[in-house]
Amino acid sequence: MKRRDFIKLMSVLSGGAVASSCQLDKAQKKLIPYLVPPEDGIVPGEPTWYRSTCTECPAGCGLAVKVMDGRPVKLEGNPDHPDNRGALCVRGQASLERLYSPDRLRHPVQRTASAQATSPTWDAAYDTIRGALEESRRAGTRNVYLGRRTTGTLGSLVDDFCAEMGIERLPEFEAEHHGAIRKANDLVFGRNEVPFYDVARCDLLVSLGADIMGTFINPVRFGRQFSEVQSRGLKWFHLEPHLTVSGSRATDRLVVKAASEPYLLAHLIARVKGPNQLPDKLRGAVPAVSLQDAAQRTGLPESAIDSLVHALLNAKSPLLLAGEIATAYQGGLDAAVLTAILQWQLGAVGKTVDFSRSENTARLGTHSDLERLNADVAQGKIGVLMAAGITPEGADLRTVTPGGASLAVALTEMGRAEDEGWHLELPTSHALESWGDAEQRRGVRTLIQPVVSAPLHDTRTLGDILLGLMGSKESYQEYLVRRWNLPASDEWLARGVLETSVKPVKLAPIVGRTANRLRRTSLPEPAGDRAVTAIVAPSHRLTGGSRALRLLNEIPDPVSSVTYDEQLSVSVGPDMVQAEGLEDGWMAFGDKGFGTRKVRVVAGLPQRVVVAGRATHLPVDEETGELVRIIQAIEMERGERVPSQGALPVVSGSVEEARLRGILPPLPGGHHHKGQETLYPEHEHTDYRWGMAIDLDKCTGCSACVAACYVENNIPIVGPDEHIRGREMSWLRIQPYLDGDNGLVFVPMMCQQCDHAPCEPVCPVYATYHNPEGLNAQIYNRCVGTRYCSNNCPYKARRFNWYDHPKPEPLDQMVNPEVSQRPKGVMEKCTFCIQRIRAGKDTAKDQGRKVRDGEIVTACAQTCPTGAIIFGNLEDPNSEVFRLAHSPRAYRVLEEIGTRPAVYYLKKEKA
Amino acid sequence: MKKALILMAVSGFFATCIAAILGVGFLWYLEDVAPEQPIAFSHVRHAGELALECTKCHQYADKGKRATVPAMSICAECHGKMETDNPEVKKLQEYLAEDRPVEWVKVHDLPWHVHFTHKRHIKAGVECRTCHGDVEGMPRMRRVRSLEMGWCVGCHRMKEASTDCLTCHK
Repeated sequence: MKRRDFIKLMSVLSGGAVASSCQLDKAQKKLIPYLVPPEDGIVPGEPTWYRSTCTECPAGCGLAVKVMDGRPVKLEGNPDHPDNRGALCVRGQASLERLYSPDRLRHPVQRTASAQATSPTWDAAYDTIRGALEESRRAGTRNVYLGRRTTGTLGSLVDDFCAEMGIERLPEFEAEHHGAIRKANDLVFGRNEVPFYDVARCDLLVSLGADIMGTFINPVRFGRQFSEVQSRGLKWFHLEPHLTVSGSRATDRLVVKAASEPYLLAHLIARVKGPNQLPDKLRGAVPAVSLQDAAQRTGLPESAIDSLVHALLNAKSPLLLAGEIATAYQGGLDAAVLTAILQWQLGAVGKTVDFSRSENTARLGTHSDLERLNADVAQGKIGVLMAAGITPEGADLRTVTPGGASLAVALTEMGRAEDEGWHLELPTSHALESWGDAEQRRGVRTLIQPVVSAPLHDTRTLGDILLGLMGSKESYQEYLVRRWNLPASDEWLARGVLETSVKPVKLAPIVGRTANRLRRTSLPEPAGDRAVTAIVAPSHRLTGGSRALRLLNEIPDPVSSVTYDEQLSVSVGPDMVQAEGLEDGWMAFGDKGFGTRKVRVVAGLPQRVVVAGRATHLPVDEETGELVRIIQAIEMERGERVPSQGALPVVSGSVEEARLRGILPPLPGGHHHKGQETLYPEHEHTDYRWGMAIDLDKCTGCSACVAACYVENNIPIVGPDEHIRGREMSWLRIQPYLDGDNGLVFVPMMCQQCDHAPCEPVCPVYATYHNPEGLNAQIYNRCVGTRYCSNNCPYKARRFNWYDHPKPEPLDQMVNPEVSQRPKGVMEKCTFCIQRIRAGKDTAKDQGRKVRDGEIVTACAQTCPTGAIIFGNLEDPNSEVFRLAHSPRAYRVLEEIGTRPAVYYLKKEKA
Repeated sequence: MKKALILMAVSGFFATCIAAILGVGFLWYLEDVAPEQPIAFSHVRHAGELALECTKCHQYADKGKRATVPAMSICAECHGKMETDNPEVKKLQEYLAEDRPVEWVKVHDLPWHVHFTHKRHIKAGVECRTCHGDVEGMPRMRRVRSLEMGWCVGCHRMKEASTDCLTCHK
């Protein structure tokens, strides 16, 4: 280049630079003031707590909602609620996402066959419904209303609505309706109810099929109660044909053949002489099953049956229950009826099986009712069909098919696919945007209150929609206040739960009809030894519409580690690998509605059993209305091996890690003191040395902690593709390990906050270091992303942000402002919820004292139903965590390599 | 002669450019530390002449993380009838009439990774002016401190406050 050209170029460039820099509109951040300051007690930027009710499942746990700057940022359990006492399950924790979900329906939608979908106004939508009702009345067709389990004031409003509008209120629908239990209790005791199973009052627990720690009725309550009685030496027999979290936690897990439970129950009735003597007529009607017969049918050794009988005879307050898989087959009613009889015989009815505190299921229907509705709709007998809260997967496997109704109205939170066939979709507000109440079981009333000043979208609460259709001028809030008529409403709002006294119920079996039913019993014929049994097990993550939540798909199933593909994969035991050649990475084909599935080998699964999350066209047992979830003699064939990784079920961790999972060496044997030698100087900790103790005897693998960690710490959701690469971001994961015959041991694994952390010396920029309180700190804006630390971490507790994970609107509002959102290229990990430690120390400093034991609780420890995670100060010899860390059961993972972690695990005690 | 003219023209051009860049740079700097606000609010009048307490308007400074700008209703408390001839107050009243918040431009801003709490600093006896300067002498709000980490740590060291990274890095 010549000098002249250079000068010309420079003059052009500098002139351009001057011209372009004349704009002064730099990105300015705005400070937007309130119009009116918030009410007293609310400080902008500081959390406020509101009590409400979790509506993710019918258990209806109490909620404490953390609200910051007008947006809910975290859900915790209501500490005053008698069932969950501050804890929440994985679904409850994840359900905050439902409020912010980008898939929510944002305005009414009307679809006609001929034209594009339109968005009518609410009034126009109401007119459409009223007009269609009128027309249907003239045509002589039925108008029906189908809802989910609705209790409290809304339940009576639906009654009023249906009466006034001439609409028939159909039996309610829930995916888990416990039809067999209710039918059996109706038959035996005249009570069509699911009783309150009081684990807290029992000294012996025998559960058949019901996964009480995973899916059954209220796993949070069962978990909490179990943890209470466990320390008093609870003996727990869990009988199951497959492998669940409950089986893994039981002191005695007995593997029975699927659908063989009635034999065992009949045998037990004959052998157990409980406090209550069975009437001869009833005793005579119970099928006679000898010990040999029971052993042969169930596949249990005779000694195991004997020890079960022995335990039942010696128990002062036994609790025996059966449900889910143990009653979900043709003849499942026998199991439920025999269970009810045995419960009475054992003297459990009125004590541990409490009908005075039953679930409110008076209006609940079954799958049979749904089948009937679908048949009526198809035959054109239905005019207007209104379905409230029924999700596309609400039945898990089945739902309403609105095709033949003249006007099908979906009252729904989530937007619906066009091909589902709804004519009108009305968006309902989320529970966190609504007023309401619930009484899911007798004696406990809970409050539902809005925590946002206005709904996020143009939605209305179900109550408001019903009142609007009735032409009422009243809002649902006014309706509620009028109905509540509570003297001390401040306390109602502050506690969010009201316990009312219940009258004790005394029950005895209705002999005649029970005996008649039992005489008609022909016990099911279990399949031969060589036949493969398929079990369609309920999922504790993805039941009943929860599939719509991204977070629940991201968190692996604790037993199989499968994340996104739960519905498309089938779990097989190691025996099937040898017998049928079914291996990870292969497809399998199954008959009887199973279709083509990705194979997932799960160590610990019983022989000749395959487990799936779903199957198409499962039959419905006419007697109980339950889905037949056990398919005998299924043919499973090995299909193609697909070379790409997409053929594998998406599991957490890398593919290799997934292959090895479940066959890792057993846990170290007890407390030992290797690995204390060191060349480095000791750390000097100030007042605090934060530590954690995790009781593996209490951990059920329920994964509530994982979900809580995700929400609390703004952890991104990466989706299935990144998952296959092993790039999930969870700071806390549940690792399952095989535990002999007794199922699995779950080890929650997070950053161990090592004293001699291998990650610290390798960081070239001091982004990670040991802080004076013993935390292994990670300074996100300092990190340059070399990933040396992750390579050097023996616990694989560090996660790297390969990408930014932008969240679709309005999900981007679901942010905990106290935790940074880490950008691409940065390493991140658990720091014991440093924001909570900071807040706790702040409060303590305000009051001029040190932090008290138990005052700071990490998100994982806070939500744990069984209280398996204890957080605290290891420098304080009076703290709970100090006591547990010095328990003879305590050990630290990989202690022998000298990392000196701050997380102590308490080894599972052998029964 | 001609050569000298060309040389002068060229160097003159570049000198103008440099001067312009410096000038614009200065404007940028001013805009950064003392941006123009939608209403020319004067701390001289409020904090200086009227000697109002800082927490009269920034009412959460001693209660929470954020000091906050006053809610519109707090402005309205006085300016419903006071100084209503002032053109800037008239602007305010327009906002009030329309129930619209004033979009103030942030003068003191911290990056995404910083945890900062006003309450802790005030309870520790740090005066507002330590970080915000002599506000009562500022007709237009101006940032007088860099608000960079070195400046924070300097003070923390001097007062023997925590210099653990996790104290401020979130």
